[in-house]
Amino acid sequence: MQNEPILKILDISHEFLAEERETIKALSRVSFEVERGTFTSIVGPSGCGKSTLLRIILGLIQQTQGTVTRNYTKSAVIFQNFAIFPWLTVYENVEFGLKMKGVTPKERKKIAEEKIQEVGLAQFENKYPRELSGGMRQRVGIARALAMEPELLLMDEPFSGLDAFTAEKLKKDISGIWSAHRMTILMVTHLISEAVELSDKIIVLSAGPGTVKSTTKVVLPRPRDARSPDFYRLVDGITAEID
Amino acid sequence: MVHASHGLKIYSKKYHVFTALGVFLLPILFLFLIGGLSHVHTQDLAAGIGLSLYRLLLAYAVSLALGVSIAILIGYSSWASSLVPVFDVLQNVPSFALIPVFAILFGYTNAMAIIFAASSIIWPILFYVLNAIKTARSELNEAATVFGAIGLKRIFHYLIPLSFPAIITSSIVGISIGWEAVIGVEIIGLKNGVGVFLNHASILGDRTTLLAGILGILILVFSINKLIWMPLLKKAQYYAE
Repeated sequence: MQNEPILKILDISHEFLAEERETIKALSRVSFEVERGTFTSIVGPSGCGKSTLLRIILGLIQQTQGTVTRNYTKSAVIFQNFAIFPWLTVYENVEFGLKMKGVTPKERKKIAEEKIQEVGLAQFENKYPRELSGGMRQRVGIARALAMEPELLLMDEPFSGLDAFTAEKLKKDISGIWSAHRMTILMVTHLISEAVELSDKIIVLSAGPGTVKSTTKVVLPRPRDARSPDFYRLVDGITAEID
Repeated sequence: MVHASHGLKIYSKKYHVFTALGVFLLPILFLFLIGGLSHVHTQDLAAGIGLSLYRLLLAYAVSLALGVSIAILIGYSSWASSLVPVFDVLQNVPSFALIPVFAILFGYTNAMAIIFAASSIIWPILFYVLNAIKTARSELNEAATVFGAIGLKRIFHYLIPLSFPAIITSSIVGISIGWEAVIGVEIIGLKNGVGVFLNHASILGDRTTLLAGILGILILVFSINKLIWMPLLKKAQYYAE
């Protein structure tokens, strides 16, 4: 079990009914595996079905065809636009998933405070989302996901809604969290350099409908130098595939 | 007052308590004053306003419970969405056209006044709350699902807080429609209430009594706004993105 991939996607196709009753094929026979403890990214142009695939993995939508094998019990997600609840404080947002699971208040408090501390929001526990910057809101989203102690952490373009400085800082933090917890991360992004900087494996999807075009193992040493020739070479290679 | 599920303090400062007490006392002071300065029967006026307020509050409670429940049901299940056109047609029926129907069913009774007012108040509540649920960001819905807000937990920990600003604004609109409905049906066919008080004053040509009645309603409406809706509206800002 431990050597088995944590996630197996086999022959996934997905169609949906658009306006005017037109059937759109979003994904066609997508197959790949995610190994336990690795950082995997799915990259591709807009409309290639990356986010649809993520939602199929999360069980939010049902694929038209194919199978998803989930060899994990706990997963969590970090959303592109944070998706934290505006009526809850930072602390209440972070403990939300635990509360829904029926974890005792004492245990919730311990875990939530630990995760809030980990993402650097200890002074902001009682603030509401509207009182926080975009970067801080995403940190709440990260803490909420970490509080679930997930085996598989899914991230849907987690840095897209942020300014460049905040995105850089948060990328380093995610990298640190991944190293510290050795959890499995599956990230969806349209930024190839972001995927190369963070991932062990990059799955490239092509659009219309989304199919797996290639899988690239990234063997550059960590921490990665985004200005090194090897880094550029890899980014250019993947960009050429998508073009 | 503390919001049960989220610990939101609605009256957190002494200022609110003083304001609340002050505006609560205003209608009483007004009645004493008007009684002392004129021939207006303040006891009749107080009884009339009290009875109308009682009818309004009961009608509002029924509308709130039904409106929010139906909106959540429609927002929650796909089959219930097919009911929206039915409710859309129903809400377009002029409410006063229903008075003869309710009169046949219940007679001009207290219950009839409450049901008639509820039939007017329910629409803004139902449609505002439904709109809040239907227009919520899909990511927020997904986050609620992924983090375990399903079944009854989804209603209490997600859908109701999500709808809270809409519940407050629609309640303000609904209560004002409710006053019209209650006073209207009292004038048309009931034997008591502030509508009847105003109607008698009008028939007798007693302008002082008429003015006292209208001022009494205004002061009560102002008190309710200041005491209940304004603090809730302020807190509702925290529920909106």
